[in-house]
Amino acid sequence: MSALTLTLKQHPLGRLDLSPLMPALVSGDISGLAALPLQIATQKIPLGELFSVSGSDASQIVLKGDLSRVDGIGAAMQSGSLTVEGNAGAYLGTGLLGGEINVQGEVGHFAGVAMRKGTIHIKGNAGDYLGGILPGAMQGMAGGQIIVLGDVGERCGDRMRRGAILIGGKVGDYAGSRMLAGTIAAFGGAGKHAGYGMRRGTLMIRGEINLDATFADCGQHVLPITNLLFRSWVKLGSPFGDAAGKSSPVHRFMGDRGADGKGEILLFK
Amino acid sequence: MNINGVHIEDTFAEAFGMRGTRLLITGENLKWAYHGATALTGFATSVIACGAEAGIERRLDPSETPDGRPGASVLMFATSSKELASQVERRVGQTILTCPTASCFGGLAEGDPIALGKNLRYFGDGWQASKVVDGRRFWRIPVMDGEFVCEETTRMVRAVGGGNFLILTRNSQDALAAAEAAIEAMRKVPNVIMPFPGGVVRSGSKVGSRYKTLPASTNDAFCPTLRGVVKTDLPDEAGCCLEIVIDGLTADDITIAMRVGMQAVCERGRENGVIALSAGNYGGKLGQFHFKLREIMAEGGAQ
Repeated sequence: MSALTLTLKQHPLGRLDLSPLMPALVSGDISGLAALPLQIATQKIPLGELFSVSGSDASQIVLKGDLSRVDGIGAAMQSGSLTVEGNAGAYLGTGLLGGEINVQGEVGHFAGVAMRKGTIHIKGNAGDYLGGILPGAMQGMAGGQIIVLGDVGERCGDRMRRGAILIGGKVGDYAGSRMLAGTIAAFGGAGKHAGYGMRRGTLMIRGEINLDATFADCGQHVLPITNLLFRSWVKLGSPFGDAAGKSSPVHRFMGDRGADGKGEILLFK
Repeated sequence: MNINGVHIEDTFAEAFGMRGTRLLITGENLKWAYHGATALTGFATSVIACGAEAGIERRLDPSETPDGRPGASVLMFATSSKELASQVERRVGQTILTCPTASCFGGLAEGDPIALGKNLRYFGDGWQASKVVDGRRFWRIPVMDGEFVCEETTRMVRAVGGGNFLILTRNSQDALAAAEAAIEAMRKVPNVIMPFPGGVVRSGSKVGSRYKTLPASTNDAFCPTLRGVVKTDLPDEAGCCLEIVIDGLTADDITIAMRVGMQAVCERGRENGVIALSAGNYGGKLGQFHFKLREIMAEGGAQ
């Protein structure tokens, strides 16, 4: 069986919501796929009119074309793999429950919000609220791993509860805002107000940055836990595994003292 | 059966079921990892009064440990899962938590999880934090030299304790030399420990005693100074007997360790004063695992 491949026929005129796709494929039955109604702007259009479908293996899905206006790709996915050969829109991998999503281009805002398990790999940049929270929910990303090779927008990991977000490039302002737990590591620095309102969790940033006054300076330390973290990232390649085995000191700050204050920002080299 | 002049008694070692776990202790360097591991396995020779039997299984290279530091692998055994869980917690809490730079990790991939750092974390008084790395949860407890890192749980498996053999020699010097040779060879076998001092025990016991309160007492049949007054099991030439006790994760591991140890003793042979090999056989009263000496040696190629 070859991979189920969906090729976008033309650039959609409005935002296209692809979030019904993964729930429709849970049974592995693709017979009704072409008729699956998808919301685009104010109307519902069958999937078959928007995408040409080939292949039949629903456990490995390939999306082709410029999908920067297609939202909710891989939402609620439970297993298998999904590859986006190009850019993806907003809400990629919302509420991900398992499996692996690979994006070879850029992704929009809200990627990986409320995800619980699984992995999202993004080769390009990602927008705001990566691994963040859905409106009305109490917590954001609650497990799994997001790996971004490029830069990430603002409020990355907002209200994150568990899991890890690894960023090869720079993370924008308010990284780890209102974070409850988990790990965010940015290997290309961070913007302003890092860790704003964070209660617990770890924000690792390579390089020096200015921190808010609500973070207490705990000094430079060699922390055994960074050994464990860096070593577990070696398999992800550079830059994530670069610091493994070096046991270099990190500069530890605790905060946000305006919130619970048990979180930490570790500045490393 | 006779190997290199050493008579192999037609008997079996009697062992019993235990619960066991493996802990990996790492430190800034091997010296401090061993300080921790040595203290952790101290006073853990026999479950009769120590609560647990424990020993250092082997040295670990940095490439083999979860945090890439040098370390030691420790095996710990107890008679019940409850007792093992209790011993792991008190021992790690008093010896690894306290040991400068040391960290503690579970060392088995399978088995039922029991608490390792799960309750020790409260020593952190609210400053403890956990981190999940590759699906394993680690606790970070602030201590005066930085942080004590301890995995939340370790795995417990059904194991075997009390595998043994007796070395019967002309005199004490010959017995020590033979026992040391055996232990040196047996330390290379994975999944086993020899929990007694230097791996060797001199106070082998029999089941029961003449005193109501004492369930076990000296194995008088092998005491050289009682020859002539009790029914002795010592051959005429034998003037000393030492025992090596083995705890292992499986019965097969114990079989291998016994064979390797007995082969080392037999290699020393009659010319170095080794008269015979025997075993702690309690007539089936003690345990369900029987390790027959002659079968073990025959499988090792002996005639």
